[in-house]
Amino acid sequence: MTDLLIPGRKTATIDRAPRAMIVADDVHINYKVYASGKRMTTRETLTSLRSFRGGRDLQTVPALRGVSFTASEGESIGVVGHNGSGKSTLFRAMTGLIPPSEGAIYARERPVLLGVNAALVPELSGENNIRLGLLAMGFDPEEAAARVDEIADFAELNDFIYHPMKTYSSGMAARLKFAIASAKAHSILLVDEALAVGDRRFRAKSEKRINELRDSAGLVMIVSHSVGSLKETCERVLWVHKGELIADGPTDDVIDEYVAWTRNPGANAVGAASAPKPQTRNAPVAVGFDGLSDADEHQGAPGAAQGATALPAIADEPRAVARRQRHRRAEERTRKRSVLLMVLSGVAVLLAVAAGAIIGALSSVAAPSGLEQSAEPSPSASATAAAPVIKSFTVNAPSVECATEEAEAKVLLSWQIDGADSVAIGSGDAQVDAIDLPLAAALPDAITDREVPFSCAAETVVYTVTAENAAGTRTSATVTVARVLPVETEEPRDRDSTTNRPPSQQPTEPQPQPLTDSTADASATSDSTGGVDGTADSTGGVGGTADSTGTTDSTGGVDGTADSTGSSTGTTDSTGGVDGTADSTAGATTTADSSGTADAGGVLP
Amino acid sequence: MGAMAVPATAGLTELGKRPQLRGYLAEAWRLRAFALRLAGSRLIASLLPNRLGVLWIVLKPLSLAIIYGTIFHFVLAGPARPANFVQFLIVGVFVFEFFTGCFGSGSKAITGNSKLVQSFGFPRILLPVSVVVEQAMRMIPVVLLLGILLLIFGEPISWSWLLIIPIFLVMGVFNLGVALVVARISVRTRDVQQLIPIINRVLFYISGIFFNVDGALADYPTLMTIVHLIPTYDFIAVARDVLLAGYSAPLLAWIAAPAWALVMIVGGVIFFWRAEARYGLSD
Repeated sequence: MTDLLIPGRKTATIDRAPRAMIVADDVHINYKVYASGKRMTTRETLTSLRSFRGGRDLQTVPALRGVSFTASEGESIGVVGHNGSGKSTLFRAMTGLIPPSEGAIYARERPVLLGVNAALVPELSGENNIRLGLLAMGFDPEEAAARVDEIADFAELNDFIYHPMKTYSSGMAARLKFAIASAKAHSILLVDEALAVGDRRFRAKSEKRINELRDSAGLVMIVSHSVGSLKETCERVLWVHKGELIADGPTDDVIDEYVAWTRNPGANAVGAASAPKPQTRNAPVAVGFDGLSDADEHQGAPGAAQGATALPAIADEPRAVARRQRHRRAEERTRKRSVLLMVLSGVAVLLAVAAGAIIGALSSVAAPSGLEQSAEPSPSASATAAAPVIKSFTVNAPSVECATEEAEAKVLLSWQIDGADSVAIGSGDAQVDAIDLPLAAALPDAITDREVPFSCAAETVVYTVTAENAAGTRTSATVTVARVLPVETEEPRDRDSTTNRPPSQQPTEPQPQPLTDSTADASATSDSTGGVDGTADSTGGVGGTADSTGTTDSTGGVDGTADSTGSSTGTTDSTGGVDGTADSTAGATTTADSSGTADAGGVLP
Repeated sequence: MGAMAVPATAGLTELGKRPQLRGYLAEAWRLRAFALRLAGSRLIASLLPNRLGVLWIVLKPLSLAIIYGTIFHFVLAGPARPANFVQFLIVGVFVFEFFTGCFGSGSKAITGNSKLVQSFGFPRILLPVSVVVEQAMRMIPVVLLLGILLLIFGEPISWSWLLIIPIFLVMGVFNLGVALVVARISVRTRDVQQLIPIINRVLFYISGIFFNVDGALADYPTLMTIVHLIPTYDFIAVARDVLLAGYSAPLLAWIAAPAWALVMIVGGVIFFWRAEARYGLSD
């Protein structure tokens, strides 16, 4: 017994002749565990992080503490130990998945790990997984293609080989994984309880395959709780307990020792051959340990007080106290962290609120600069205080083409009004009060392209929008739309209609700057009654500059004044009636061309 | 104990250490068939469960283009509105799709394949490579659709269209570099995967997918130069240059695009390789 508990001597005698496949040299693996449970393992990259945090919330949990062994080709080695003793960690370290914190593992070739839960690519079919596995192991594509059938046969999946791997049962998946991983000879194969899931027939087959691999100078290491199957497949067994290698020797010796230690194989090993009477779990552990730790000299880990050299029941008291203290410390850390997190998230919320407030403030600062401009030219608006403000009232085209005088057409009106309670539009040959004579009433404050009928019977139609606020104050604005009849019917108007056409055919974009009050001034004229238009403007508090256009038609001077407002269009008119139209469209088109109107004025007889 | 190990390690390599870069890349090249196969199988497996299958590859960017086209057609005006709005937009959306695909699935290249990583010892760089290859495969029908759409919208066909292939290759190299970086970061900091949609959104808006950056930022020359240096903008602008008759990319974009690709691939490979030993830790 003492003999096999000194693994160094034992292994040294075993691997004299054959080549070493794996050498584990004093391997320590520490999991760094945050109090939150998140794991950080790697030493090198953590140095920065740890120094930054001062290592306060990192807990070091030793998973392996000074494991050393040498495994040679042609061996098959079993690994036993109860759950959580570090077997799987050792295997993962041997595949290079976990870098050791101290010590090193050397291998002739990168070992392949067959874990129970390695699912490869679950979405793909078994066949595809075989191919991918073979390619990943370094086979050529042709070679891989050639071996797919062989592996599929070995796994005995039949037609399931074409089904996605996620549909497999755990036994099927384990079989396939074993088949893939064992396809390559000359490899170091680590089997992590994978054989336990296969059925009896497959187990026999896989044991045979393991023997073949071993014979072809491979190395097989198997973790298993089934001491029976270990006895069949392995001639050497490592016993890992609490991260330490406490026994390393011939299968029968170590297994017997292990079984004797556990005394209760039913608790861990399902397929155990010998299952003696069950006892309480704790007592044998303590006793077994006691006996073992005497002989267990091979490790000098400073943290030994924590675990492996367990003492019998007397020593249980201080250990329990220490554990409680550790637990309390961990809890304390967790609490501190959660407080810190709460503070941090509170700060983050505050910052977000502050940012929102700043953005809000900025936008409210930015907006008035625009508002001031628009508010400034209308001191009258503040005088009449509550009167609705017609910010814009435009038509899509200053003129409408009519086939005949009987025809009906449509025009599109757009407006934007502030402070209105009710809005109505009306039509007539002069400005009307649209709320009294509505074409349509109860309209929204702002609308784009409202369709209204246009009767071709009249030469021009004046559309009025009237807004009334809660106090009953009304404001009106108008646009005038002219009719354009075909050339042959209206001889004197030929020129007008043709010259009028370009702007009418080009509705252009929705005007980019209709928000300023000055656009409303365009609508402020009606052809015959300049006085009306003047009132409209003043009550509307808009575009006082346009008032000058409120002159009667038929004088060329009208054009000149229209130009002076700067917002007029370039539509030329020889008659004053149309002139009003031209002005009214000014807001819509905004393509001012003063010289054009001046010309028109000059054309007038 | 230690004394025992010393003579025995002759001829063995230490595990859990990253290999030399040169040998690493050589090994990756040797196993390239694995990456290609993984990409192909992944692509097919991702399409099979959908009834429309491969159609989704083109439907997704197409529907995006329709949505953006409809909305921004009404919103955009002035100098920011590009000349051939529809063509401008679809080239932008389709090319950007390549980037978002690589960026998003690149971040899951390692974390989404942890079982594979833990089972086999292939060079991990093959996983981001396979992601980019898969996305490139997805781009093939998208690019064909792009050509057809451009013809439909009356874009004159020209020899310069062929330049889109090298452009996509260079962009693929750039995307691989990005995928390598995010793949490594997201192994240890999963939060990156939450950030990716946000980064995508930001890049979407500043890369001028649906508006003309030159027009919109004409008054801010410094800002415009910065935007011209954004890699996604560069690739999109260059692609538009060769595909659209009425668009020419700034010279800066032609220089910056390959420069970005070079910087990202070199930086990405080294950055990824340095953590090679630790990718198995992700679970």
